Amino acid sequence: MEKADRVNFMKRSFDKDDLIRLGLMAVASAAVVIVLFIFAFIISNSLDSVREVGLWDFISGSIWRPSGGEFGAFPLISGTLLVTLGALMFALPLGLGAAIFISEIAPARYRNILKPICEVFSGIPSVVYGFFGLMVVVPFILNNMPGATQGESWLAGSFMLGIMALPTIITVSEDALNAVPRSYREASLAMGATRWETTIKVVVPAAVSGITAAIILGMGRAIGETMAVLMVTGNAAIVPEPIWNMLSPVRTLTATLAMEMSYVAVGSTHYSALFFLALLLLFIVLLVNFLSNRVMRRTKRKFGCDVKARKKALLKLPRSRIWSEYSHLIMKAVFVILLFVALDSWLGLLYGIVATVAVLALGTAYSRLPSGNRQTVSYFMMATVMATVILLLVLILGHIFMRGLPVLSIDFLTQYPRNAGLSGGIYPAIVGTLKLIVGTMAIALPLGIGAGVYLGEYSRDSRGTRLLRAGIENLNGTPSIVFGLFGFAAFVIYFGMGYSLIAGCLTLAFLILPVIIRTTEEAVKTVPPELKEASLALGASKWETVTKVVLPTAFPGIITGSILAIGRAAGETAPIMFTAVVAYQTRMGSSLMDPVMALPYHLYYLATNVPNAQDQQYGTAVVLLLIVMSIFLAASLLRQYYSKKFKW
Amino acid sequence: MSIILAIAITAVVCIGGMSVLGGGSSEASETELSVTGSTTVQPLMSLFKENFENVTVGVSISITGGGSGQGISSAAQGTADIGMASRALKSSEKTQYPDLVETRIANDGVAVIVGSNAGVTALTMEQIRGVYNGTYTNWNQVGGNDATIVVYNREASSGTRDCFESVVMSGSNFVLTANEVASNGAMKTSVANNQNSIGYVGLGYLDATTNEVTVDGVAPTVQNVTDEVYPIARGLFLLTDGAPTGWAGAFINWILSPSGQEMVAEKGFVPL
Repeated sequence: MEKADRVNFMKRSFDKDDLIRLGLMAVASAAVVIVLFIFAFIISNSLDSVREVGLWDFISGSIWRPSGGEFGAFPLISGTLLVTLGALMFALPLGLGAAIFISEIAPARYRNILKPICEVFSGIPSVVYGFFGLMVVVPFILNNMPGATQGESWLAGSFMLGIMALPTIITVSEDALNAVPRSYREASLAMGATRWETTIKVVVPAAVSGITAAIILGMGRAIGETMAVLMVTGNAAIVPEPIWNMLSPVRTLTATLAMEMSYVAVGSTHYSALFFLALLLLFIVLLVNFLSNRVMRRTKRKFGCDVKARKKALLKLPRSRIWSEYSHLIMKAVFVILLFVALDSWLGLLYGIVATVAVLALGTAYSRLPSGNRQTVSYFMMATVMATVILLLVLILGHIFMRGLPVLSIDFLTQYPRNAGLSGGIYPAIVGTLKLIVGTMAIALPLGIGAGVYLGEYSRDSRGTRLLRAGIENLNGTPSIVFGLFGFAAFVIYFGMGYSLIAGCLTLAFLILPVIIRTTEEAVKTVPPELKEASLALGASKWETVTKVVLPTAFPGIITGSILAIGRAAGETAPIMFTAVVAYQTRMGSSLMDPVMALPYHLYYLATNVPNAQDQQYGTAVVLLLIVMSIFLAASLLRQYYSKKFKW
Repeated sequence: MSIILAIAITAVVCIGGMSVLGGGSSEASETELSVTGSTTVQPLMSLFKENFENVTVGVSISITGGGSGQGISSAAQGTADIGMASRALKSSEKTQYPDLVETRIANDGVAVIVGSNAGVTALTMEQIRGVYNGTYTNWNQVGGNDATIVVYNREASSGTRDCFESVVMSGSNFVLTANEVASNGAMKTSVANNQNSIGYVGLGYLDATTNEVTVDGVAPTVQNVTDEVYPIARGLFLLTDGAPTGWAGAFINWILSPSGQEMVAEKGFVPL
């Protein structure tokens, strides 16, 4: 009798836990469902055009002229790749220099200031970068580059993307440099190398795979970028002539989507062709992410705690020895070519050659210096790079705040726009952005946290779990414009929601879901196992342990991660421009089915549609920056607060 | 295996849930009139909206840009109550959307504007075509200064581009090196910022800061469009799924009334 009762009781509690487990699993699988949805919608919509144009003609065709029925995507693909490569030209020296300075040169107390400063770059919304490019970089190129007939160019796009890739490259490379074991440095110093020689000949080569991953990740960000490129590259669908002419206009895949998606008749060949472009973009980005993951995994194996794997990685030395023998030559050749192209496009052929030779001569002189002096010169150069990075940040923020702050007034913040946005305020855009934030949180937080808890607490390493993780990873890498396209095709058209708040929130929620899942999982995993064991040992069920012990303990990590994700969502333009926003409202709708105004799109609209509205543009940019930055600030303050409060 | 099952269940629930949400949309739009389409009509529509909402209670109008193509397809598919287009329906669109009704609300001309250093104030249709198809690449080939022409074009299927293309280009293709911008406003800004540029905008966008040229000797003015002597001209249309009724009908009638047509003139377009 007694025994039977106990069995019953155990069975009941087991059932409940099992139900919860299943529920969480369902939530977690939503990530996979979303990825499948996205692929299904994009592929099914793109089939028509591929059938009509032919796959090879589509990819290799050199003329993109939808009105004439010509769909050659080659100039768009080459534009995307060229802009990304050009971005590396700026981001690589600046990012690596800054990472080396922060990790190896700067005293520890500055490191804790410099790293967050570099992270501010990633808090600036893409549309604000584009706006800065349009107002400052484009006129600068037109007026200062010899031979420039226009400022909208490959160069302008690459410059903006280079800046935007900086935070990724700096943080990830800095982490890689930091992960190099202390013993490496000590051995090198003990053998009489200077600190600079240790850095450049031991630490950097040891971290090279992490640095490579950083570069690839930065590239991934650049390839998927939309707004900043769209506003500054001129958007002529051509391959530059000659191919290194950085002053030529180019058009990227993302810009084509953003420009033409909103005009196209739903169901036409052109419509379908745009989905094929999105598929191409997705393919390129997934390839890049796949590469970076592989490289990252190798790094982990090399320096991780798994001794066996590390030994295996180190045993593979012969292959890397060949590389190290020629790497200098290859690196030098690549450097000379890049340098020549850069100087050439700036100064013209003759002066380009002269300048390249001059730089090489300086380089040779540098390498002949005694090692002590060389260290001084090198430190000076790295410090200059760091200063340039900070200067760029100050320049961008300074420019926008200087011109935007005077515009701010109570009226500007609380009135409706008038005269197509030329006068009046931005009240509905502020409210719209807040509505989008709240709605996105309401959808993404339960799903993301549920999925994160499942992955961190319940999942075993099975094929299903790996599928889940792959889904989440791919979702994370998907460019935001692809989310926009998907949201349009799925929510706006297929489910008939129209341009509405709910369609925008769903699209944004999908966008940030992977970030929330990951941070939750990581936070849950850092909860010390002793706590869980203690709770279970006291007779608490799994679910009770999760809700009463694990979640409260992991709360700081979850909340900061979620806030960061929300900050990103608040600044996004591409996902909402075809799903939720209208350019102009003088009365706000109250239902979820009504469209809203939003700050990022309002800035884009003002900057490209309303000439002579500069005050309104800068004012909107400042309000957007203030909202996004205060979200980020809140996250970092919370993180600091909790890291002082809890120590494991 | 159970994960796959979970995925399938979640998919079904998602689709079901969103269909329910989607079904709710028709009930909520009673007092909400959505207007979408041509960026040429958009500034005019903003003015209509402000004034119409002032004289009417119980309706709220929301305006989205996006271009004539979207205006037409949205009106036909019911994602918007009224579509805006800066061109008449093509015959292919009439067969695709037989229920669509177009109402002409104003006329517009497309003006050709040039940068401050171009050195031309008059161009012929043939010269404009030559610049846009790549025959002429320097301003001195069309009677201007010695400077490379920087060509600005609108994006594919913009109504303004459509009008320009059908009247000016007469079958020849746009030069591929032309920059593309996504709105009349962007066009105006780009041309103003580059002294050797050429572009085109709706008549309503001309002001003291633009340098417009005469076409075959005719200036792009309201009068010349009304008199049908200016060559690059077109009608502006609103589209509804079936004859306009309810709030949409009331709104369109008001636009066609004298007080509505007054705003047409105020924005620099040509009243009917």
